[in-house]
Amino acid sequence: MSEIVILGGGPAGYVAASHAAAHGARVTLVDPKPLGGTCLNQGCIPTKALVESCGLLEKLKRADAFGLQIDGQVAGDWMAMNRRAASIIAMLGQGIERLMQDRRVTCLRGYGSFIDDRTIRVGDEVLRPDRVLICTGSVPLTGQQLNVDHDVIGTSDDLLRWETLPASLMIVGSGVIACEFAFILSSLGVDVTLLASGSRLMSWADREVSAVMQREMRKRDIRVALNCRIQSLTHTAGGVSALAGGQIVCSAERALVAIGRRPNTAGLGLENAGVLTNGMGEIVVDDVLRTNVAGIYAAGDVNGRSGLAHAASAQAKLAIDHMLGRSFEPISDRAIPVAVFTSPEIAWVGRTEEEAVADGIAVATGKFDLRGLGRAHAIGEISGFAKVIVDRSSGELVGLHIIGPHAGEMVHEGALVIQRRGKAAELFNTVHAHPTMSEGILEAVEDALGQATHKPLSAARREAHVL
Amino acid sequence: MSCNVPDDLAYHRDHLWVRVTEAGEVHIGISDFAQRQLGTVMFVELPSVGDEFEAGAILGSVESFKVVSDLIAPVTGEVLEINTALKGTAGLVNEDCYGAGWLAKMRVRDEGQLADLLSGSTYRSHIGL
Repeated sequence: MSEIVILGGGPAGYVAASHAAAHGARVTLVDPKPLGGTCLNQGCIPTKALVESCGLLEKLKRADAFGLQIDGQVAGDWMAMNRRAASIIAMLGQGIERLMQDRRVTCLRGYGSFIDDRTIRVGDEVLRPDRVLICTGSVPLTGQQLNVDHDVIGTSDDLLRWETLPASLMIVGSGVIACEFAFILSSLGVDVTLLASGSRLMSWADREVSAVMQREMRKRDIRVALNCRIQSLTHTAGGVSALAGGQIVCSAERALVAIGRRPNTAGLGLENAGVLTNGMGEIVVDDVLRTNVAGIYAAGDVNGRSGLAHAASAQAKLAIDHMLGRSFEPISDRAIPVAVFTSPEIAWVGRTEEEAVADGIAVATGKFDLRGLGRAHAIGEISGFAKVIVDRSSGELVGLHIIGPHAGEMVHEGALVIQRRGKAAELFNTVHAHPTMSEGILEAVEDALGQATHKPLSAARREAHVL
Repeated sequence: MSCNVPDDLAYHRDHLWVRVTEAGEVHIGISDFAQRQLGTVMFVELPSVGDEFEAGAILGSVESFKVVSDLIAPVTGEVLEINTALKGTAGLVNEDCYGAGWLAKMRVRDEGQLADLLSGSTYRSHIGL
């Protein structure tokens, strides 16, 4: 029986443990913290609980438009919302622990550290497994000049621990975390300013998606400063000031630093095992998640290949399959969907229009405004669109980009087609239920292939595309 | 469809009107034809004061229940002022597109360019009236 030690119990580590144990391996899962990792405890799950509270709050603010009368005030209660998130975390965390018991996975609470390439110490215990999977995740990036003190200037980890909200908040960054928190906190009445170093928000998303999100921020009075490279944050009597280009560009009561995350490898003793890392500390791995050291694999954020929980889980399963000599399908990073829980939601899979053009693909694009759908009006959320990128020569679907309600649920039909390198026409030939938001995808494909049913002839998309 | 196309204004073919207020300065807005096409306007995304645009460039967008449309700059120049009243009451574009629903005030870089705009009668035939 194969003995496997897994370092880190997040979406890579616990999924790997479950998978390996289910297939006969003897597994030890090592994590100093509650299982579930950043995703469950400080990331995806608590923020989604908050997003849901804020979404409901936003809807209640418009209750009269839905024919509802509310007597009295509707207001967000930050601590109550966090208690709800905490109870969800506790429930799901117990679920993971029960799963580990069910699989007879040995869970060790502690920091695992390599003594050499075959030996790991966890507290007083010394383990000599056949294989090791490193899944220690990532931690928020902070620059020394940003003076993070956790109370006034904090990262996302800190913000979720704040017991009160500030009247005003500056967010340094323009990625997923920055944008999600901008909407959450704005809903709760915080005066939010987003300081983005680039020329647009979420720079790796589709350009048109970024533009709609920025417009939605403007609607909510979230201020956005683009091309704003913050040199430093300093504490002032009133809170925090941000310096860029030698000038104070923003002052607020508190600041959230959301400039990215870095691999969490501190204290792992990688040097004792001889495991190679790259510039940001990410562990170098091959297609099957092997490091340069025989028997040692790394999956999830720690290898820098993706920052997504579901990508981490997929990598972890593949690594285990390879360790156990099981058959597996390679992971195509192109087919991994991304979901961002801003308001409206954003989701995409595959290439953006620019990436496709840069890759030398002759593309046809199709787009459909979701406000053309009955369901969007019934939901009362009409902003956004679905857009498809199609390879004109092969008809292959190369990208699906959605901004709008339920985008995160809608994206998977695109992921399925892209994963199997299918044609856009497969979506076109699939009857979509009415009335649903997913009809927008159908219309976008129709638009790319010729003419969307519910789009004026005058607005038909140009067939060729030159950027 | 009856449409109000005042003859004392100039028009860009992408449906913004231009009113010369003083030498080198213009007010711009959305034509009655365009606001009728849009239907109930919910949000107008305006540029910032100080932004500069070439004629034909996208200077903002207008959202109605039916569509999101780009606003195309009718002239080349700098934005001097925006109609802040549209924030919260975007419906002014529907109610009074040539008055309280104006979009922005711009300084025109080249006054000669104003001659390229359409007259009321030319715009009327452009929109098929």
